[in-house]
Amino acid sequence: MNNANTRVVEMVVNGRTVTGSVPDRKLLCDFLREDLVLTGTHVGCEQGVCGACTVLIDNRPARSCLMFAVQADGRTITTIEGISSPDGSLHPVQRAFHENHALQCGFCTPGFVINSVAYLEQRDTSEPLSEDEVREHLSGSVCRCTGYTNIVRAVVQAAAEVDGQRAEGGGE
Amino acid sequence: MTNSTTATAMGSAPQEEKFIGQNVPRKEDRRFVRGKGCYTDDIVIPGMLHAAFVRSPYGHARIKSIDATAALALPGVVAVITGRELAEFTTPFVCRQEGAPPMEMDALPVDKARFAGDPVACVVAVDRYVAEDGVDLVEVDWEVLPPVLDMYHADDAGMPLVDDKLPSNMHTRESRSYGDIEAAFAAADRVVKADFRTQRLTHVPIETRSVVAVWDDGREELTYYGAAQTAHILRTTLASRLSLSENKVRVISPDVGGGFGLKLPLFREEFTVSAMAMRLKRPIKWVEDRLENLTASNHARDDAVSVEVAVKNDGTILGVRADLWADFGAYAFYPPSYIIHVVGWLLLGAYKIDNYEYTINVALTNKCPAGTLRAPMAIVTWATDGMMHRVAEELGLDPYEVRRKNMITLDDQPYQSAPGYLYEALTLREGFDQTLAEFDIQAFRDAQKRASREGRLIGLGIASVVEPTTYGSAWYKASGDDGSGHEAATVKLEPTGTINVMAGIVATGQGYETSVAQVVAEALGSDPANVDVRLGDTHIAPYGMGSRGSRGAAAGHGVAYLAAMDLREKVLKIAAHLLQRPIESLRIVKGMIIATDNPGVSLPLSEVARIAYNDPTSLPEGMLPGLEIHRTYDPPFMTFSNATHLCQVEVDPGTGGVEISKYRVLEDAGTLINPMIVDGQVHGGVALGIGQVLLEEIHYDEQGTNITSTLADYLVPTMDTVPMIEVEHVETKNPNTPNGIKGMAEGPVQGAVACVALAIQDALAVAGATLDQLPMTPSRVLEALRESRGPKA
Amino acid sequence: MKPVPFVYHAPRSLDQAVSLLDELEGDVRVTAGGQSLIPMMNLRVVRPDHLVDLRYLDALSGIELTDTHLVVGATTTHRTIETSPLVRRVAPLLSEMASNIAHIPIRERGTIGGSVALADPTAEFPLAALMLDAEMTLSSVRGTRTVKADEFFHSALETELAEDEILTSLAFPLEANRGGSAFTEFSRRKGDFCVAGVAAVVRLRDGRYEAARIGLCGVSDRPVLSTIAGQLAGERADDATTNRIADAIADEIEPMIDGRATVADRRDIARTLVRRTLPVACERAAAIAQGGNR
Repeated sequence: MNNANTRVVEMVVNGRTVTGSVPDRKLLCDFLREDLVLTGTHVGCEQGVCGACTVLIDNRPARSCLMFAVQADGRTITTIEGISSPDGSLHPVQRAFHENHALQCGFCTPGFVINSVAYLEQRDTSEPLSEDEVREHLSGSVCRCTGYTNIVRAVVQAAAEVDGQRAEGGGE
Repeated sequence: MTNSTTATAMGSAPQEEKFIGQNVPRKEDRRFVRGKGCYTDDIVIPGMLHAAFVRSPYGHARIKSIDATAALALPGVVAVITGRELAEFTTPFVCRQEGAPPMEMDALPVDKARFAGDPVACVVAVDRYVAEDGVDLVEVDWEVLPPVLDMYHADDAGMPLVDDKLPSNMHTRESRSYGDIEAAFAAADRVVKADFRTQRLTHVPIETRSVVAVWDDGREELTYYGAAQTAHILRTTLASRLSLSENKVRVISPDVGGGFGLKLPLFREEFTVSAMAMRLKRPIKWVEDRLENLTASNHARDDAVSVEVAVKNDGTILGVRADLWADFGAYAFYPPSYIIHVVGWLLLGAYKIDNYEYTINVALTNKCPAGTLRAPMAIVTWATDGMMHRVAEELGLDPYEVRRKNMITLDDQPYQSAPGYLYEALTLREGFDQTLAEFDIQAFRDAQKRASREGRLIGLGIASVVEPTTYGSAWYKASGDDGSGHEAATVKLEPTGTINVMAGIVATGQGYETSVAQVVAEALGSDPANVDVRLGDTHIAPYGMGSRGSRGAAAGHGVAYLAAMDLREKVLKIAAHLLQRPIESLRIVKGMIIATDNPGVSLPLSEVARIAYNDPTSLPEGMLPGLEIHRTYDPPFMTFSNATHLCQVEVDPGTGGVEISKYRVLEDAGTLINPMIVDGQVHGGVALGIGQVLLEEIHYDEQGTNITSTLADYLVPTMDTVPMIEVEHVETKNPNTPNGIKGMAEGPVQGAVACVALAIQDALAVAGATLDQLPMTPSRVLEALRESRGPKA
Repeated sequence: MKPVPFVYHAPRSLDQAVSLLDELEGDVRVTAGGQSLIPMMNLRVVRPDHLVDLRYLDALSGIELTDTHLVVGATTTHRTIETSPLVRRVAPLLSEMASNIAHIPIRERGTIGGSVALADPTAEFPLAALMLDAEMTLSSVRGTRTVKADEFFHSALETELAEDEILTSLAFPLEANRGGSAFTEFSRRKGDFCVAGVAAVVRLRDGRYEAARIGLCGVSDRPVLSTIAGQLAGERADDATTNRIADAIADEIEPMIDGRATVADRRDIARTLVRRTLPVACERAAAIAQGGNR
């Protein structure tokens, strides 16, 4: 990139404080993938439509292709690499995707996992999660391989476990 | 998922474990759910540069000059190359088709751009951002020409030529005739006509095309990292066009984010990047952005079927005449007649029709070139079942009865279709009957009437899918197409007992690392966890024909199974020699070779391996060391699978919106290796078909600009578009393939296009409205309903 | 698709922000959520020289209730508005319309000010502003002014907002929110830009309309209020009335011609949406009247 106007940014990514020197126009998704070598966040459209690039910013899901790295200065970010535990064990959502064959090529999967984790962590748990509720709130991620049936099943399965954990007041 | 019993009962020896037919959870999932896959854009090579392309904004324009001065002056831009310069050290791609003039395609166009998005120059820079800045600064002097945009008028007087080396924009006009079509039409009580039109589509894998080309100046070898469904064929082509020995090119297809038939040919961008890597002696990456993917990769479908059906009043079909049209676009990555001919020979579908004539008309236009999108012949099932419904309508008969009586049964098979294809072990009638038995059509018709009185329109669609899955070499020969249908595999039992399988098929999400491990584990008495599957690297995998169509199961897994069985034979010969037991008495259970007549006598597979590599003098007399077996397999001329799809829709007459309320599939793909994976393929294919009927469409305006160039304009199915899909399986083994495997992947697309379209047509018919064009958008539905209501008083 | 080079600015106060707009030369864009702007920048359709980010202007974010107004800061996100118990209680139309915008991740970043300032003809919040008589506060180095919704939207993507002005807040008079409200839109897929949308706010007395306001998005180059909805006053709130007014509105509107739907389509869809929205608003109005909800 033009070496004029690079800016130092600092943010917490997957629990670790990181710094970088970026041009103003560098997209957050490119910063994550290239500067931090966190290639689990995928780029599918750079328009905010496909959802593959979704990360958690201050614990809320957001498209990393629609943000500049400089805008993430001072923020806390979780990428797919930060979803499983440090010991390698899977989040209930990741496990449910695997058990329900809810992924084929895997390219959209990080976005789906992030969006599912975010939604399950903040939804109203007074009712168990229904398939309709999944379709209502997770249709912002596009998959071309699976036809969604198994993804819906996986999220419903994960919800039961996440609801239980939230009731106990524990996290992962 | 079951494990076979290993407890002995009544003195019987343990049984070998079966993995074929098991829902083994996928091995590849672990890296994908954690974001640790390695896709092409994840690959970084030191010193890597980045490419971007200058593209034509016009649908048709002559390139008068290209001035890269300003671009080259931009800090960070390393090089700019044009088609003229590339032509000096590369050769064009020549697409041959029997009976037609060949079509040539340069690395990048030299004289003119033939569609909006056509790449005409490549900028290489320190990163993609600067490369795009460089693209902005390249000045192209264009002479705009009128574009050819309508396949039906491509040859009108005054139309410019799309390919100046060809005599006409109608590339192919051919007819094929079978039986006695004249007699059939002469004997008909009635001739029924029907039309079917599909739109222009594109693949939209979530991962766009991408490549990293690396030139090793020491070895003078090129490594091409990029999705390559047919990696070996790509290597051969790439080497040839760069005038490199085939030995000097390595293609590595890493994890691929979906192929769907897109990531097959050697595209011009990837080729140009490879040529530039060689020239600059620097690794170069190019990642297609979504705008490029929608406008300039491959398009698909955009075809039409017009049929005339000669019938008797009792619904017997005497003969069919079909006129087929295809808008092929501006360049030939495939022989232009290839796909539409598949529509031609498949059009008779599930029905016994002896007299048949079809004509194909393939037009070149100033649009992105057409290619193979999963189920390229998808129009077929809709047209076939649709024409039967039209026949029934005109004769005043029940459409399901008309279909039933003309449908091929198991007893009819082996059945040779009019164009000469052999159908075996297809449960077309049986699946249809089972579907109808499980669904109360009368109750549905009653519900339909009640709904209509409430102002609601509901409809039913049932599709009978015939899916050609695996093309043998004999088919290619008979069709006059270049290529083979065989597949290759090498199976190795390593010295420590672990197993490696390499095959020529390439993974793009189908779960091959699991399913191939299953067939090999079963053959060798091991476990899928002990079998690693290596695909997509031409230095490692044996030369194969790759992943296209639905050949992965029958061809790819078939050959892996055969190779593993050959290896098993050698292993058992060694074990028999070492254990001093007859070979027939030996089994392999969980990696242990046991003697059935004395289960206490056993030998680990790993010990056989150790001896084969490190102690070969202990092998049987005359046996060579090592445990690596290579095998090829040429499938039969054609292998088919079949399915019956059923769906219910509700058409909202107030908005034109369509909701699918029920979707069921009865699938017969012969022996299933991993039913869970097959279900996933059904779901995914159905979703694609639904997208084709309801949402997806490429639009060119009158200037030839593609105005559906973002995912906000080109709409693909999202979770709310696709209902839960119920799948049931019947496994009727194919008599000719290993294990009776048939394969499947494209049939669900055919089935969904057909049954959703038929269901909408059924719903609209309640209101007296008709629609025979895809996609069936709200606008088209509302228009159809308005027309049926007639002019307002 | 990568954006052109630009200089990024993140002012720490409104004064700094408006000064930047005054001083900077070239194409200067203001951003908060960026959910509409950044796709345009990535396509290089928008090529700013400068980007002024409002992220540090805390005063521009937040929801406050005064005696007379619900005041929403311009950089309040759609998601905040959607889920705010205060908004749900006091201006439920606003939260209902917010929930129709795109998808959750977009709503977590997108802001009401950004949506209103962009004025996409199919957008929900411009219609909400018009329906609820919002008063927009605009700031520049030249001072502050207030513009009412019915003067704010000029045409597609064109508003009263001057190049050097920043929309800082929207004040919704509580009076305009009284009654039962509902919003329905028709789009190709959930979360897409709608083909058309209808909003209704009604008050009932003894089974008859006391007041009614019906507005539409996606049928013109800007949000529109039906002028004939006022005719509902005194009419019975029943299906016959609903159908009559739906037909009338379908004829009243003058839909634009674009590639997404024909004029006839928009009339049909508008008619359908009015038929489906008005009864819901009436139900809610009746529930309020009974329950004394507010």
